[in-house]
Amino acid sequence: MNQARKALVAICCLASGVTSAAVEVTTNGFLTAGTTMIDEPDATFNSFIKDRVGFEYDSRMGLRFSAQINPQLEFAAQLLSRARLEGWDVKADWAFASYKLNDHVSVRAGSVRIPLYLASEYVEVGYAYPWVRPPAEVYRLTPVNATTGVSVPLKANLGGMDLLVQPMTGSLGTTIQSRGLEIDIVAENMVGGSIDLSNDILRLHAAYLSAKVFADTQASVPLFVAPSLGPVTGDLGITLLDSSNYQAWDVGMSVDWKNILLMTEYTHTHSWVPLDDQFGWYATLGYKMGNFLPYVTYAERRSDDIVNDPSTFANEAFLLASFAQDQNSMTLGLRYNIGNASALKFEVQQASTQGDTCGFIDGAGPGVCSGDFPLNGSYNMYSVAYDVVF
Amino acid sequence: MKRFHRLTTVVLLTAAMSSQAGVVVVAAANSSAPALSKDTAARLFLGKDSNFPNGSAAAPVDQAEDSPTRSEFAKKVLAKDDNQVKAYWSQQIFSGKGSPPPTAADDTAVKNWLANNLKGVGYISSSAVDGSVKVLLRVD
Repeated sequence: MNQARKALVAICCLASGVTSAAVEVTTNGFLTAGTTMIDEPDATFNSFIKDRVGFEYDSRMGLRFSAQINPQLEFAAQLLSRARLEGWDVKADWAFASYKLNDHVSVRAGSVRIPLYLASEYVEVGYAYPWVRPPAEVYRLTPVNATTGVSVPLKANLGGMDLLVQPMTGSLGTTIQSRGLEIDIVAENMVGGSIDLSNDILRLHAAYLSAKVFADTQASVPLFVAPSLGPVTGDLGITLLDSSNYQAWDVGMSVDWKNILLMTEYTHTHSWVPLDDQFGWYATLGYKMGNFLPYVTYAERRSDDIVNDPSTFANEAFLLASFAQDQNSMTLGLRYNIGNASALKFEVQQASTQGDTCGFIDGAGPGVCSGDFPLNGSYNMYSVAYDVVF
Repeated sequence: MKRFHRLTTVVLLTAAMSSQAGVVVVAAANSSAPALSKDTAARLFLGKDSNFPNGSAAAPVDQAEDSPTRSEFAKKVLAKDDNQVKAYWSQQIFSGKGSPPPTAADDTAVKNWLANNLKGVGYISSSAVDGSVKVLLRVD
């Protein structure tokens, strides 16, 4: 992220410097004010969502600056500030220099987007998609969106369909919030890309990402209780992934035809340890009626080959066993467009956790979920969000 | 009574025609821009193409968001409603892929803008067509 900040500083200096050179800097922004709660007393969902009205999880705002230096060269940066994790600290979401070689090829360098999922490239911009937030069963599987590196977008028009190929490479160091823990991630040798084929109605998407990943947590780990080893307390520095070969795939499709909106996506990750394979998929079907878009989403997350033998991995196993987040969810949602630059959204989600896991309810040790939430239990989540673009 | 009916019909027709007057895609009268199909015009205004079909560079100008001509153009040429256009540009802008064209307030402002931009392409209500512009596409 530091390098992203440096790139941003460079762009800001350039932006202020170029005013005199009559280069126009365009500014756009987005804002989401959201509130969410679950109906399970004392349980938490991904650290923030609790059984009372909270605003931290979804609320965020962003500003995007762009300076077209000449027809080929553009500098662009996006600042993001959110309530969750960063406490409204302003961060560079991405910042890059883009050089257009011709109408088909450009090169971007800096902090560039990782185009893994259908909505990865605008995942923070609530107005740009139907949901309050993209389905967690898929989007939280590889929860990183930008890397310091290079991407080379290639565009072509193939008889009525537009082809966009975005190969990229880079590395990143970041902190994510997952399973009730702050996890530091370093990903090196990241190589991947996406292929999109689209027209006005249909978009087909496929993406791949591979990296060597180091992940650890120094967080104060909640009290673990295991019958064989007794309670474990305190600050644990735990290495979750040590130079693991991490791979992620995604295939997705969206259809926007007359009143019908359909989005579906399947993703798969492979990281050898601690969870060999994880899968997620969802399908969203909506029907537009004027400014109203009612929709329904069904989603699933599954894990295979979970390391859950404490004798093999000692302390790590406590964490690992609570790492699987298997669950099914059904969401009913309504989006209401207010004017043509804001939307109000409501969602009711019913989720049932599967495979003797806590699903997305935070774990408190192997086989123990926060707030005495039972394994293979079910919970409801209620969300309201107001999205604006300007 | 019959005459009243006829009058009402004329008034209604006139009202209908003025709200659905048709929209035309135009360039400056002395521009070398070629005639456009709906599809090629849509691609220019959505930022998917940056050149006219004859290979010369195109600089589109949009109308302001509160302009009725803009809504009509979006519906008839882009095949999108205002919200879909906004969502499309949100995805383009915030993914760093592109920016919407500059805007001019209304038909007259578009014509003035085109007069100073030989590469320019805009759209106006068909009733606003005059000698200062060349019609590239007519959509009723």
